[in-house]
Amino acid sequence: MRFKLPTLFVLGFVVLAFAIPLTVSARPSVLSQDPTQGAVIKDRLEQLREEFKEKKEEFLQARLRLGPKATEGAKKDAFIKAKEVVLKILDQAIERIQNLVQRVEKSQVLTDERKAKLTADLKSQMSLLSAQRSKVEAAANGEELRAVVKEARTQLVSTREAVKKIVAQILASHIDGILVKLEEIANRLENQIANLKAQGVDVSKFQAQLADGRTKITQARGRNANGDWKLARKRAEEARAVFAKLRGQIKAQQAKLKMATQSATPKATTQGGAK
Amino acid sequence: MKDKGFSQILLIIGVLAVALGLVFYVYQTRFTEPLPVPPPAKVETVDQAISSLDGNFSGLSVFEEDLEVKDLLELEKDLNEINLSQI
Repeated sequence: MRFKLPTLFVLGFVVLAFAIPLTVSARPSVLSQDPTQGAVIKDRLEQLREEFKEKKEEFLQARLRLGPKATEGAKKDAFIKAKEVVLKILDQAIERIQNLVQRVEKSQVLTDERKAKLTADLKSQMSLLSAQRSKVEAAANGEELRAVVKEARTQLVSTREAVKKIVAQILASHIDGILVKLEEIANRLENQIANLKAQGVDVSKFQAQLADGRTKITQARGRNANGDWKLARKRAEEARAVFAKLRGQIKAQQAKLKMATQSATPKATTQGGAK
Repeated sequence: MKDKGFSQILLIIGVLAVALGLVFYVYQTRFTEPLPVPPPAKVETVDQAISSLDGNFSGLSVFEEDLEVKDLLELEKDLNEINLSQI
């Protein structure tokens, strides 16, 4: 099919005509923006805890029916209930770690690299617990269940140790973040002190306080690196208190200078006028 | 003749598309909210920076509690308490 020139012209016009509304519609609308930022994390731990308590009660009841004259049905029932209790315990442990993974991912202090490493470590613990869970599900009799529960106990201990280490790293990162902020505050206070000094104020007391605060930051950093988070936090809080007090004194001094300037200005004007 | 008819159809479609475009443009510009302009980045004052540290310290408490892993210890206790001897 061969098109003549007017046809081609009309065809181009049509293409352009369609392009206009398409371009306009490509503009993002306020209405299309999602107002909710991030999914709401539903905490299932409490719910799981309640379910565990129910299953434990059911198991204890089923166990009461066991004895030398227990029927096969009663034995089977107790076995099933025992499995359910163990599964609920493992489910709680998995959920607990899942919760921590979400908190790590949401953290504004951890670097992406750190987040990836911690998340991988936590997910590895979740996989180990899930593997244990599958074994519990597959247990065919009491003997097998006892053996699997023994393994699960060991696994829970190692998971607890691993989680503790991971949380310690998160805590250390948070303290580091606080120390960086404190350093920034110290630098800004130093500038303010320098300004006061330039205006002829005796700032030796301020400088001593600033040095004290900085010493506390250094001590906190050292404690944090050694894993002594409690003392690191204490020193950081002390540094914050020193800086808060210092800031108050600087403000008072700045206000004094301002008042002195304001009272000096009309005097100078009056003197100038008398001349 | 056939080509002329085709051109007319295309012309009508084109006119309709322009009309649609205009209607859409008017709707976009007059009846929808303008895109929000991001507020200029606020520079935190020293006082604000000192105050905001309180929130950071409270955040630490949550992780300090986590560090005790009380809930995992409780789960270990729960697992140890299950008596499977007669199962």
